[in-house]
Amino acid sequence: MNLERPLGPMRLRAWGLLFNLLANVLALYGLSRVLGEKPGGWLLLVVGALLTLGCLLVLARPAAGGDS
Amino acid sequence: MVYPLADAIPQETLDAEAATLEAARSGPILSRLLTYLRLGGPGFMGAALTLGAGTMTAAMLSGAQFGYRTLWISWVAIGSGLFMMAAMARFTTRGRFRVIEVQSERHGWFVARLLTAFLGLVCVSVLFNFGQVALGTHLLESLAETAGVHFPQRWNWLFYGALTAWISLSYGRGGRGVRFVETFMKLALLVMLLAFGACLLVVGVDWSAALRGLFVPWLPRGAAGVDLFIASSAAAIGVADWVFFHYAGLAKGWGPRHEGLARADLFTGLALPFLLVYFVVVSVFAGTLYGSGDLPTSATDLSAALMPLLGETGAQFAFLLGFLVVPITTSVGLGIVCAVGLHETFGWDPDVRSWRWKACVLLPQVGLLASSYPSPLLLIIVIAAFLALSNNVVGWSFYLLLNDAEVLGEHRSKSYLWNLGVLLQITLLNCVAALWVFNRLGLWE
Repeated sequence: MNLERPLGPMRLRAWGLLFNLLANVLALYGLSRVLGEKPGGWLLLVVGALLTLGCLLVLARPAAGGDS
Repeated sequence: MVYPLADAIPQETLDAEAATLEAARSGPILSRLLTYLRLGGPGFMGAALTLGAGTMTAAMLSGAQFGYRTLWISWVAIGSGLFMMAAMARFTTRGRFRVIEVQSERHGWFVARLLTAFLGLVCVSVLFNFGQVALGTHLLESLAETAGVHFPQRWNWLFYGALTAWISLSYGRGGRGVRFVETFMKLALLVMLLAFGACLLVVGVDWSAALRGLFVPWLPRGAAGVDLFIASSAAAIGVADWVFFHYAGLAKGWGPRHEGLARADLFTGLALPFLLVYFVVVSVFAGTLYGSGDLPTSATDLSAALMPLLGETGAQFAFLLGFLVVPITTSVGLGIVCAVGLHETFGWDPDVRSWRWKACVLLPQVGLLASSYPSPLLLIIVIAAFLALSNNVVGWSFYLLLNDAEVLGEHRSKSYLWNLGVLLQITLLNCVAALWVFNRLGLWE
């Protein structure tokens, strides 16, 4: 996956940061439900945490090529 | 030179520094360390800046409430922050540009000028100086009383203001001024360590509990534990620390051959002093106030509660002296941060001999009002909210610059681990923003 590819107004790498934020929010919302002993918290927490992990692992890839 | 503060440093001096670094690299580790300690500076400035009233209050409270058990958060916090700081070192030494200028070109004025320069530097330096002044003038009064002299806050603010303003303004006096302020910060950190260390000798350390606290993660149960971890990890090194390190490096004229020094400075100048001072302060409070029931929450009340427990007048004096250095160094740093921030907000050329530069350095001195009046709490809460919501966006911008081939060319990040470290800190900052919103919506009880 080329993270430097433009997609609309931003590069894919920047979209990835936004997606990571959404995943972080989802995980924290799940955690708040778990701590408040409300239903469905664990599912949201696990999905949010896995999406966060996925984003971090993908976004950590350095940009290829383009040396000047 | 790309930054006028470095004008007065001759190229021969910079070349000689680079040659010394080359020679030290092949020498024994002790001589290498001493060279880094001597030639480093921005890291020490960063440590002195970040070890302010807020961090000290957090350390004191942590020791008094939880004993040694949350010590591990300090190295996790500083460790995760170092990846972003290394990015700033790369912008300084390889990019050799003013990062906010480049940020503005690549990501727009809103992120660069408003969120980074104005909110992250100017607002922080002006508003957070109120807390430093309130603490510093209170400690001056207490210290004078210990010596049998009456020097109340309503008078000593003049001394506090004159001292901090003079040192901050010295930074703009060319290479000698930069070295003077850096040496002052290094000595101030040493005084903090020796003074708090002397108190720790009186109090004693429970080494087994301390080692467990350093290496076995523990948090209070429930939402309070998550709050504590996220807030402490994200607050140790923030936008002001990132940007200040970059501009302080530019002020030293650092170039490509200084990158190793810049990275070493992050360890020996920033991380090590921060961790040592934090450890000593937490240990002093863990050994005295921990488990003593109702605890005060402000730094001044906590230090007042500690005094009788230290027993020896000498130990009390040492604590007050070490503690006084904390707000003084932070006030000095905030003056410089404010001047850099205002110049970058408006795109001004930082002519350090101009009245404009001096006025910008002196702007945080409005915090001297805190010696007689309450701090502007509402304004501080509003700015803290904006910071909580925007620090992550500034982090995104720096991560993108670090990976931008058009900005750094072959010097962009090529390390998976480095990027991962930066992303972890960004994720922590995202969580700070999300928690702030959750708290307002009543979703985080």
